[in-house]
Amino acid sequence: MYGRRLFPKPDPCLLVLSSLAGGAKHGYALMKDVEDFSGVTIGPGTVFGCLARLEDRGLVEALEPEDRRHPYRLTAAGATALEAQVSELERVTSTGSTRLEATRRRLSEGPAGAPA
Amino acid sequence: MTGLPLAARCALAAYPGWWCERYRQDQERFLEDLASDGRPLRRAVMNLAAGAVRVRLRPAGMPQTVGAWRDRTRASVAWATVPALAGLLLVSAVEQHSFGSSTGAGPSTSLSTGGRVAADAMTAINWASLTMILLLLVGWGLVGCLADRAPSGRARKRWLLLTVAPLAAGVVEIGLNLLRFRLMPTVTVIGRLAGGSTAVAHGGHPLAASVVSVAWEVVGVAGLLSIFCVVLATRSADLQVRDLRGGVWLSQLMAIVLFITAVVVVAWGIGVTHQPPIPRADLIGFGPGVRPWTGIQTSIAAESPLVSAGLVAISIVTAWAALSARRGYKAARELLLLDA
Repeated sequence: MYGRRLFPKPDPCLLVLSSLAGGAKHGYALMKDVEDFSGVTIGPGTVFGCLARLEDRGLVEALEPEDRRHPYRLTAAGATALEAQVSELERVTSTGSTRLEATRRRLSEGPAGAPA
Repeated sequence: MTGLPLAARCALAAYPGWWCERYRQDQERFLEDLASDGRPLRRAVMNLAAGAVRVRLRPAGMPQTVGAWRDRTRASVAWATVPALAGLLLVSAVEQHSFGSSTGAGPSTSLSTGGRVAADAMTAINWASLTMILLLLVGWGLVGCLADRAPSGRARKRWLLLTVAPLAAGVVEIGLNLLRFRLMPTVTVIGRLAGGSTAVAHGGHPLAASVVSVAWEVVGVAGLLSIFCVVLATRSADLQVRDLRGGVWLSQLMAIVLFITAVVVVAWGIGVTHQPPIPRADLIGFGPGVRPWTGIQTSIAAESPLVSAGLVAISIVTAWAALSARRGYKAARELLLLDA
């Protein structure tokens, strides 16, 4: 309906953190995992840009390379940051769900003052 | 790596050195995995290129070492200088060609408000372009002068010598220009510019004037090319943080001059498009023509938005580079003090 998406795509760094919460992964495996659980495709520039930022803040760390590629894993600080972010999102989604349910009920009953 | 297409290798090469040390191999493997899964590389390469721009603009994850910040400052100084050469070409293309003439409208021509704005802007453009040329020619000489003089290596000495080349070319250029005008048989237009009615011819030495003119052009091009050489030589010159002090100043001055130039070129562009066409007979100088090395017509009203947009873009790049150079220099100095 609109030329642009009403809601922007989820933050790629959050997607990367969520993926790494499931275990250590290298860049390509990480991209495939994000694609599987969120439907969002993130390219190599975005993946490694996020990894660099997260590594810089100590939220992820690189492991010893396997077959010329480093797997990355979540650190304890990364798990805490992800937890805080997820609980914030959960608060929004649960409020949205509760209110949506009430709205659906009201709509099914018909507009106020109008015969049902 | 060798199996990757050229575009992918170019995108990978666009990342800064510190990044390549950390992520180059991972990114190469990513692309190889993508290709072996039969997925198209085009979007991934575009994403990589965009990522390289992001990393250069905002170096998140850059190691906090003197060397990394020094290299970033050096690259920023280059970015503040080299695109300015393209800016100079754009400015030269519009210079003195306001109304489809190489010199402008005659004194008897009544200009509209737009025309007057364009004429005034042209005066400012002439000064701005002169300042840009001086900065480009003298600036690197100053960088060399402010560099640490302690001898260390051939590449460094070569770089110090090269920094003088643009300035030397500038001095020779001024001398040749004066000589050219002395030798050139020409029709002076000064009489008409001052309100007189006749042009006065005076003699000269046509052959000598032609030779000097060619030399003047060659030295001019060599002077501008030498700026590229100086910038390239900085990569192998083993520059220290202190050596970049002059470069940071040069970047900041260049950003200010380019900003002012962009503003007056935009004003000229707006003014010149609002000036109704002036009859050919009212124009003075050498008439409409084409600058062979830019291919931009002298009757440039139609191209003015393009020229203005180009100059604004270059001035934004230079401003960013100057800010980045300043920040990089400061960070490198602080790290140097911490190391000490």
